[in-house]
Amino acid sequence: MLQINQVSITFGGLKALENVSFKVPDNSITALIGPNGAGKTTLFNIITGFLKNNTGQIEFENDDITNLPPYKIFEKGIARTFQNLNVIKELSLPENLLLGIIGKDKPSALKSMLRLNSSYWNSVTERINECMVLTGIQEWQNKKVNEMPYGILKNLEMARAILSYPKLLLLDEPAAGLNNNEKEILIELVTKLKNRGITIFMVEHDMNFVSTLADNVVCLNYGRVIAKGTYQEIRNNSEVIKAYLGDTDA
Amino acid sequence: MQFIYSGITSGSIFALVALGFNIIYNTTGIINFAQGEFVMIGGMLIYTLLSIYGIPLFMAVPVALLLALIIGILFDKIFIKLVKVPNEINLITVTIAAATIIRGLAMVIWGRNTLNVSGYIPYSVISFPGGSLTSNSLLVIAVSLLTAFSLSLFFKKSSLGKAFRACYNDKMAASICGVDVGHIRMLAFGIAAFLGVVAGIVTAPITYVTYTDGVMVGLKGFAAAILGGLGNFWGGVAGGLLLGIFEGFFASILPSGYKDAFAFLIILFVLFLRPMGLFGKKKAERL
Repeated sequence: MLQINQVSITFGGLKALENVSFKVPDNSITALIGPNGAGKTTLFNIITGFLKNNTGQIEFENDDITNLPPYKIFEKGIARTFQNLNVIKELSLPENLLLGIIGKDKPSALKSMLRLNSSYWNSVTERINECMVLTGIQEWQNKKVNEMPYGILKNLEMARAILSYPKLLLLDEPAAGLNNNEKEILIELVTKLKNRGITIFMVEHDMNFVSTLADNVVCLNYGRVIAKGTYQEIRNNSEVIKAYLGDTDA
Repeated sequence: MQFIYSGITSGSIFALVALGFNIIYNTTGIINFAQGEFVMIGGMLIYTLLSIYGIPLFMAVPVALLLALIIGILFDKIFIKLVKVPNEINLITVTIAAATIIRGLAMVIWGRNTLNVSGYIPYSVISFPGGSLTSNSLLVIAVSLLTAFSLSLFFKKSSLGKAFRACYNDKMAASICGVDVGHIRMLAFGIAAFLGVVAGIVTAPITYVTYTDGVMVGLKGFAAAILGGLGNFWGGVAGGLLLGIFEGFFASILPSGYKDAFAFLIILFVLFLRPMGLFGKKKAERL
């Protein structure tokens, strides 16, 4: 589904990513792991058009999406969440969710203002309600966004991404800052999304979370892929152990 | 009371100009110092369509408004989009340069003389408690407030309006939801030019039209936006009306020649005492 080919990027003299290549298979959960500063979020930002890579190519469903702007990437069917929340505080919870739909459907401004085409708008309301139930945020729909707890805001961001019916969903540290109970709920939700046919590609530090969900794991260190395979394979890889624990020979 | 009535008339124009400033500020983070020139262009366009080409009013107004949208979009494409390093200082400098170019072009096209535009409705004086308003002034107030309410409805209710509001708040989040931020910025210039041209059209029969009209009305609109809280929609409207009323009061107690200085006093007072304006909120910055 997603193919990263020899992607490199430098910031000044710093090589943030160097010849990174791997595949995210269709209908799978792939985790991107690595120590802080390994280049994980940089790669997410390149895939979603927020950064331009110096060399290399990114293909999505055999389509070259390298350096397309974020809204074009979104239109191709790639949605994402952020490590630092990107919920729009100016909009209400349902309006935030609506943004995920109108960004994709692009309904006419006049028709939306006058609520012409009522069957479409009824279906939009249904989709929003269904998604609120799926992500467990329905009780918060009348609350102000800036009064919501962190876990709910993370789910809101996820719900907004899901509403665009993405083919590929990028989750940047989805479990960060969540308690064990919230993580259990999130595992259930991500599994449901995979069962609905959405391919998941996530950056995550929580190895329990990764081991429970991921079909494939890619490990980055200093901007280079040092290992890829199943969680079991990665766990026993000496390069990965060295990257996380340091050189134990010393 | 009369100064209140005249203040509301001029204030409703400042409100439209302030809204133009706010829309551009919210979508780009810059002050468009060419906003006043859109008002001048509005007056010039309606003069040209009515007096030179003899087009009837009911056709001339929509044509002028359509041209306004096109001018705003071209403004973005010519002056803003081509800036290689689009930081705030560079963009603001470009808008000042653009204002000077537009004013110069207007002088070449329409000349230095004041141009007369006939009233759109029959002249009459309507009495109110403690004062009166002319029919033209009432038209200015009605059109300005109607425009502000329609725009507010557009931002609140339409899908595109929600995309605008998302861009105001968080461009990164908006773009990941499929909003083309560059397209929204282009439309913002179109709407800002539209507002300016509406102001120019309705005031043309009262103030007549000269190529330098944009300078003072632009600065007063800016003062109104600062007074209401830069970026705040209804703050801009309230700032415009208050500035108009204050200015009218000032002119009633001092020689009217000093009244233009009042807008600048307002800017200074607000920046010294309440930099976020009367209705503005401190905005959290993403670090």
